[in-house]
This record gives sequence, C-alpha cells and structure tokens, in this order.
Amino acid sequence: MDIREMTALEIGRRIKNKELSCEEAVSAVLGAIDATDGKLGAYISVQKEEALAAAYSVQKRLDAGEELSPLAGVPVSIKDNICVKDVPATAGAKMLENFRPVYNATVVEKLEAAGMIPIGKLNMDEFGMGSTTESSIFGPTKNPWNLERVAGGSSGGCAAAVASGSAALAIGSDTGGSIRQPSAFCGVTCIKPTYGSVSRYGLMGSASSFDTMGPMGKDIRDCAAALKIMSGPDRRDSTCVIDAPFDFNGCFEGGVGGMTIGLPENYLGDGLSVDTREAILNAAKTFESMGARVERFTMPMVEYAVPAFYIIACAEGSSNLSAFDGIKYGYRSPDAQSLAEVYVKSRSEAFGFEAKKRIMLGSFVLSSGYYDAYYNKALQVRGLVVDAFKKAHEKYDFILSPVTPSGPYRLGESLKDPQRIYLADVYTVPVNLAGLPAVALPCGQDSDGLPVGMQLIGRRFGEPTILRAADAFQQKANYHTRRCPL
Amino acid sequence: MRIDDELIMYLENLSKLELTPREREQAKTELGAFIGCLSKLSEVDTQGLPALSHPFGVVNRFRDDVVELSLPRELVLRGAPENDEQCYQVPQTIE
Amino acid sequence: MSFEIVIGLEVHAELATNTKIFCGCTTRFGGEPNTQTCAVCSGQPGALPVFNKAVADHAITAGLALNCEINQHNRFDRKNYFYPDLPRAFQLSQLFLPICKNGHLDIETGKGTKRIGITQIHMEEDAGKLIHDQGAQCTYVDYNRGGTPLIEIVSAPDLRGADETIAYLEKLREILLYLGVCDCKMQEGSLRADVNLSVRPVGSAKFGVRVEMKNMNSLKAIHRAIAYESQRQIDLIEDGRSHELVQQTRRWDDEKGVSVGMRSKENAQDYRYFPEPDLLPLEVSPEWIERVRTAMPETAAAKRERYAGLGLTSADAAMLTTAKPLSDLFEQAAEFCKKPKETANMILGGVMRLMNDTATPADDLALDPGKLADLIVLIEDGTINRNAGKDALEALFKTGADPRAYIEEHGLAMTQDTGLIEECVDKALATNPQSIEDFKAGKEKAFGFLVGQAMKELRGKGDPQLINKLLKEKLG
Repeated sequence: MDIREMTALEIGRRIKNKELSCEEAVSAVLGAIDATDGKLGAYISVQKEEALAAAYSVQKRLDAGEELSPLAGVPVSIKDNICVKDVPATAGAKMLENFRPVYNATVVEKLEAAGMIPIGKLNMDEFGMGSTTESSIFGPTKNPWNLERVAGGSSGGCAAAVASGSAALAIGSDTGGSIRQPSAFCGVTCIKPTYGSVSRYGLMGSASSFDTMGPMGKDIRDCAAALKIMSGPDRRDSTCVIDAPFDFNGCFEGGVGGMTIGLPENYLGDGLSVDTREAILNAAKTFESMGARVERFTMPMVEYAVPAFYIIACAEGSSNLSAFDGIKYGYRSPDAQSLAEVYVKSRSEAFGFEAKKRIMLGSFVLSSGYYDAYYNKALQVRGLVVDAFKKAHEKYDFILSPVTPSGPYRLGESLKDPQRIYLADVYTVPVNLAGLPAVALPCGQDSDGLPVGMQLIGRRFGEPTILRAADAFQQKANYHTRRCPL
Repeated sequence: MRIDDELIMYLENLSKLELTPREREQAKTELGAFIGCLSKLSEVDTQGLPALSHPFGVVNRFRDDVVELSLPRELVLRGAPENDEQCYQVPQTIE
Repeated sequence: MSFEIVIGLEVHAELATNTKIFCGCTTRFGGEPNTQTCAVCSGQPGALPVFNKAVADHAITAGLALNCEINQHNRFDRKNYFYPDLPRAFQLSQLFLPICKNGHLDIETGKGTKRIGITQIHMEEDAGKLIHDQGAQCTYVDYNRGGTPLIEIVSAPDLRGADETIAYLEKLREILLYLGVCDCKMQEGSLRADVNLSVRPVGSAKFGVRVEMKNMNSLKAIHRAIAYESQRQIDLIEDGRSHELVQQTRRWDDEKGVSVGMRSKENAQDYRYFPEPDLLPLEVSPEWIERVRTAMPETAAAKRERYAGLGLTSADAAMLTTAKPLSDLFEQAAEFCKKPKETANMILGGVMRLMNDTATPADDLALDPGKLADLIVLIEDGTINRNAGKDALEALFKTGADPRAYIEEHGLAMTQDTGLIEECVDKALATNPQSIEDFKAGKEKAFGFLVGQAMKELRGKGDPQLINKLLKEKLG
C-alpha cells in the first residue's frame, strides 16, 4: 500500500511495528511533494535535510524503546504562519519573505515531543487574510480535485497537500473558517478546536480572540490523535485556559445513538447551493439511521455574525500587523530615507491589497468617532451570538451545518466579487465568534464531482462529542476515502 | 457608506500606508461597500449589553515574578534589516 | 495682574519587580543593549504577553497607600501608534479601567497641610530606549527597558507652583520607596514626572491653556522648568500674545534652561485604544486587596510614629526616615541590640557623618546591621570608650571590619585596672599644675584638658566616666 493512501495513524502503527521506518515515511512524503507540488503549489518551503535528520533521531528513540505517541515518526506539514525555529515562516507575505523565527511555537514543540516530524511549510493567504490562498505572494494553491479551482483558504496549502497525499497530516489555523472551508473544498477532515484549548504561542496572530490551530487529515481519528498532542495549557499563552490536554480515550465508543442534533433551518435557505443542501440533508438522514434524532430549528443572529466578525477581526488584525514596520524583521523599503518612510514605504510596498484594505478597515472601526458604532457594537453582538449557541446547545448535542454555501471558486473569481466571498463565511465565522469547536468532514460531492463538506458544531470543550459523531459518520459513509484524481 | 478622500487619507495615515491612486479608488469603492454591510449591526438592539472581548468569562491568568533567560542578542537582531549587532537602527528620530 | 500657577502631575514609576510586566526578562538597569529581551518584549511575530501578578500587587499597594479605591474589573488596552521604541507599535496600558482611582495625598506647605487629589493610577509597560547619534544621522533602538512595568499616577490639578509640586513629589517618592514599589531613582529614569502647567489670573475659576512638560530628570530640573514655563506663559499673556499660547507638549532642555515645543495637542493622535485580546481580564477581589493590605510595608509616617514610641525624639525619627536604607539599618540594628535610642544616636551621629565625609548616598550604604549592633553593645557595656568606638565604626564603615576583632587587634578595650587609672590621673595632675589653677579659677575647659591628659597616659583605653569621677574627687 502506498504511504500516500495511508492515514497518519496507519503510518504511525506501521512504524511502531517496524513495518516501516521513519526515514521511509519521510522519503515517501518528500516523493509525493515532488510529484504533485509543481501542479498544486501547496508548499512554500520543504525542509528535506531537517526532516531526514529528525527521522533518524526519532527512529533511534523508538528503537531504544521510547514510547512517544501513536503518531511518532509521522511527517507533519505546517501552515506557514506557525513558527518553527530557524525555518522560514513567510505567512504567504512579501513582508516576511526572508524571515526565520527565533523560537518554536508551542504546538511545534508538542508535535516534536510526540515524535512527529515537521517536513514543510504550507501555502496560505497573506497573513491569513483571504479564503482562496490567492493572496499569497507565492501564487495560489490549486484544488487537487480540479486545478482550475481554488483550494480555499486561508489554509489552502494544508487542505490541498492532505487531499493529494503530499502531507500525511497538516496543521492549519482557523480565524473565521480557514481550516474548515479549505477542508470542505478539498474533501479532507479537520477539527477547529475550542478557543483556548491549543496554545497560540508561535502562531502569527491574525485576530487574537478568534485564532486557533487545528489538525487537517484523512479522517477524524487522525485529527483526534493530533489534537490530543497539540492541546493543553501553556504558561506562554494565558488565553489558553484548558486545564489539561484532551484525553479522547474511549471517545469513539457508542456512536450517535441517543444524540439530538440541531439542524438550523435558516442555514438551508437562500444562498445555499442545491448540491450542498442535498448533501447536508443526506448526512442528517445518515445520522438518523444510526439512532440520532435530528431537529430543525432557527439559529438567531446569523445575519449579524459576518459583520461582527469582520469588525473584530480587522480591528485586531490591523493592530497585530502594526508590528511589521520594517525595523525588527521583515521587509524594509530600500528607498526609505526618513523614519516616516521606513514605515510607510516598507508597509505600502510589502502588504498586498487585501491586507491593506483590512488594516484600514480595522483602523476605521477603532478610530475615534466610530469605535462605539462599530467595534464596541460588534463585541456586544458577539455576546448575543455566544448566547444563541449556548441556548441551542442546551437542546442539541451538536449543530449540523454547511461549511460553505457552494463548492470551490474558479481561480481569479473571488477578485471580481470580494463582497460575495466575505458573505460566504456565514457558516464558519459564528463558530469563531463563540469560540466553539467544530469538525468539518466530507459528506458528498457536487455536480462537478467536487467534494462537499459539513461541519458539526459542538459545545465549549465538547470535542469528544463531535469527534464521536464524525467518526460514526465516517464508519458508515465513505466520502472521506474518496481520493482525488491527481 | 461613502468614503471620501479625506477619510481614506486619514485611514492611510493611521495605518502607515500610502496607496497608489489606483489602489485608492478601488479601496474607496470596496471599503465603502464593506462598511455598508457592517452597518447592518445598527439593527441590533444592544443597549446595556456587555462588550465581549473574549468568548468565555475566564479571568486572572498570571505568571509569577521569576526571571527567565533572555534570548541571545544575535538571535533577536538577526532579522533586523539594519542593525549594528547591538541595536536596531532607524533613521534619526528627532529633527 | 497677578497670576496663579496651576499644576497637575503625571508621575511614571517603574515598579521594583524582578521581571518585566509581560515576560520573564529581568528589569535590571544598565545591561548591554538588547541583552535583556526575548521573543515577547522584542515583538517577535507570534509571541504573546503573560501578565506578571506582582505588577498588580505593587499597583494595589501604591493605590492603598494613596487612599485610592481599587477597581475590581481590570484589563489592558492597546494604545496604537508607530514609534521605534514600541516593538509592536502599540503600548499596553489601561485606558478604560485603571486599577486605582479617587485617592489623595496630604502634603505640608507653608500654609499647613494640603490635600492633593489622585485622579487615577494605571498600569502600563515602559517603552524601549532610543539612542541618538547626531553624526551618523541615525537612531539606535534598545529594547532592554521595553516592557518594564510602570504605574502612572495622575494627580488632580491641585498643585499651585513649584514648591507644592516638589513637596508632592518628595512625599510621593518617600511613600513609593518605603512600600518597595519603586526604587525612585530619577537619574536612572525609574521615577519620571510630566508636568501639566497652566496659569490664570488670581481669582479666576477658569483654567488656562495647558502645556505638558517632559524630560525633567531631577527635582531641581522640575523646579526650574516650572519657573521657566510659568513665566513664559505669563509673559505671553501680559504681552497680549495669548493666542500664541497653545495646548502642546514641550520638552525641557535642562542645559539651556528652556522648554521647547514638541507636538501640538490640537491634532491629537488617534490611538485607537481597544481591549488587549491576548490577555484575559484581571479581576481584583476584596480578598486580594486584603492580602495586599496585610503584606503592605510600613510607610515612613507610620515608622515615625512607631519610633517615637521607642523613645526617639521626633527630630531623630524624622531624620532616620529621610531615606529608607537609614531606617532599615536602624530597625535591624536596634532589633539586634535592643537599644533603639543608642542605635539612633550612632546612626545620626557617627554613620551619617561618615556618609557625609565620604559622599556616600544612602542607597549605597552597605553597613552590616549585626556588626553595628555589636559595636553599640561594646560601647554601652563599657568594653570600649567612645573614641575607640569611633575608630571601630570608621573601620566597619569603610572595610566592613568586625568591631570585636578590630578592638582586639588594636587593643582598644578599656582597662579595668582602677589602680592604673588613678595613677594616670595623678600623673596628669602632677604635670599640669597650671591647669589645676585654671580649673579652680572657673575655667571649665581645663577640666577637659586634664581628662584628655589622663586618657593619653592610658593610651586611650581609660573609662572616661571613671576618669571624670576621680578627677573631680581629687580637685575637690
């Protein structure tokens, strides 16, 4: 069996059983990258030497009988806004074209401690600002199911790499859907964990109060295994409020029998493509067939979530991106003579248009005279969204929802109608506003043969429930095992 | 909302950005439309509601006052476009 | 027309914590540039702040000492502006919810006690340091100081003129020092005061145009700056050029003795404050406040009261509390020897004289209180006399010499041989008949001379009281 076809846990199991060496696993993924990435553009950089060296040392530890984790020896690919010490981290931005972090993200430390092997850095929209990976200076990542389509974003590189088998497992980041939407577009499985369950230390922040990191893989068990490793408190991130790492022991037992699932009626109306609607309703039937009860309800506040999200995200993002000033790291304009020019020329020459627009929008909603009407108002609306979910979750074990209104866009399409693209975040951003966990997994295909995804939105720290439901679904239906033609 | 030249220049100034004339026109249109969408929030009655900076009500996460090793200077400075191996360098800040 | 000078102060005090406000880097002063920074305080992408709890403890301590209300709900806000001394282009401060408010500080003025309002105290981080190189047309940036915790103590515009301002600052300095909240070294910048100053005709209820003055590095500089700036403003008004008086920030140039306009407050910067999303809110419970209150070090005023109870004069108590190292030394030494009055005399006499002679500032005082206590005991129990004590103190002060060892080494212990003492007294009398006559003629000085002569015979080891007594007897 080709390693590219194996789940990460399968690779880990074979390494443990000495059927496969760490080096072979790394070489196989490197080979897959060589074979596919010219067409996909999923990777920004590949750390071949470092990965082979790490494979050697992990193998030595395993041979010495060390118990690391079920994913020990498995190569892991990492979104390019997550810091791996000394390895270029560009965040898809010209601003950081030559930047090498001086420290490891906590998540990277944890993955390495579990024996996983960082192998390459994945393409993304500039600083995560976008949902097509087209704003990366390294060019767009293409959808492995159809090279004329986008892979989604901002973690487009992650999704395309996992879907094409050029990543055994990928770590992405999700601010407003950046893990879930590309997963849906590329037919892979992912989990966006509860805000505060995974340390953000070392993630180049886009919007601090929404950002999370999560695994993207071939199935939900891979994602659970990786999330278990990534999660847990961290003294370097005081917003990471979880008490202890997730322990998903036994979490896949029992299926969805007896669960009550909420299906928001108002998510299925105008704007949702027929194919997606059908796939979601089919998924609901599948859950019912396994003993769950599906109830339709109206989810309030949805129409206000997108504006509230963008106000807060742009405000936090504009401030976070102020650190890129041409002084401490990153791009400095060669033409800058005065201090004012160091700032203005460096930033104007390096930031792309989408980033500039969002920075200015963030400045706008925080500026005196507009703060109350926009920023403060958005924080209040966020409270209403939190309440709406709380209320729904009193009745339902999880909420079944689409991820995107339609399938992946054609390359270049989003630039023509940016407004539509923002509004397409309608299903994903409420989850970030409320800081809740959600898994996204394939549940069908559209008339073009492209994958369709669904998301299961859980309670705060309710990961075990949605993992179990996703696993039950994947045991029953096999959308996740469909492989792209590439 | 209509974004006029004055507002767009004000935002450029706050953001330390200088748009090209073409970018500026595009930004005026797109930001105007976007801010129009955002204004939808005014429909929601939020009188007296708390402003939620974080989704959960967790408070008080601290560290103890214990010294930790700083980073080696050459590491901190290595990314600085201009430095003299001791300090970051910028053009004169006082006239 | 006569004018009234109206002043409000913004005092920045660097808190005496071990580490910075949001990371574990040391706050020690004077390190090589950029050697005391990490990913957090140098603004590396992805690094996150984590709040140092000791900062809140210090801020609450200061707030309680300044009679403030402590706010239960706290958080930090980002103040956004670009400047090279701010690595992330924002400063974390407390705009919306300062930790303390509505306090006061009573100061002594020529006209009695005056209450100065404390509007608020908030926590914030210090910026880095910019070093200017005129020749190279270049500015160097050092982030060692960046992230040092500060409290900003904002007074009401209750101060009238330079003397009250200085009195307020001295009192504030004393309190912060005694609380251990700040080391208050103005020359190192750990205590900085910005002066908001306006003038108005006496009797007017309306405030004049306010100017904020920065960059005064000593109380003397503040005094001069106030004198200069108030006169500048009065001159403008009297010359009919009030329109030139604008709300602005002015930088004090101590060398030239002038204030120079910096930026006009009319086009005030739009700082786009918003709550720091990388930190969780800070809730100060009543229990927390009580914990701080219980652990609060004694203020200077409380110490003076306590010293009076130990039998010290109020002048001595005041002297001892002029500097914290002095009162610390006093308390520790008195604790060892159980002789507070004698300890106070020793410090206010011998120790302070030596400090004066050697130009040693109180902060550099490194006397071992245990050894000082030993010395006091040795004098008081008659082992050595005061002259020998003086020598031993000087040795202790300058080299840290142990008094007992020093006395032994130099043979300074007083002789216990009364026969020998009497012999020496007799000898002094025999060789100085003139002095005996002088004494009998009423010249008190002659008696002292005779004591000295007897002591000389005893090579300094005599008990002066015994010599006095014998001489008196013999001179009848």
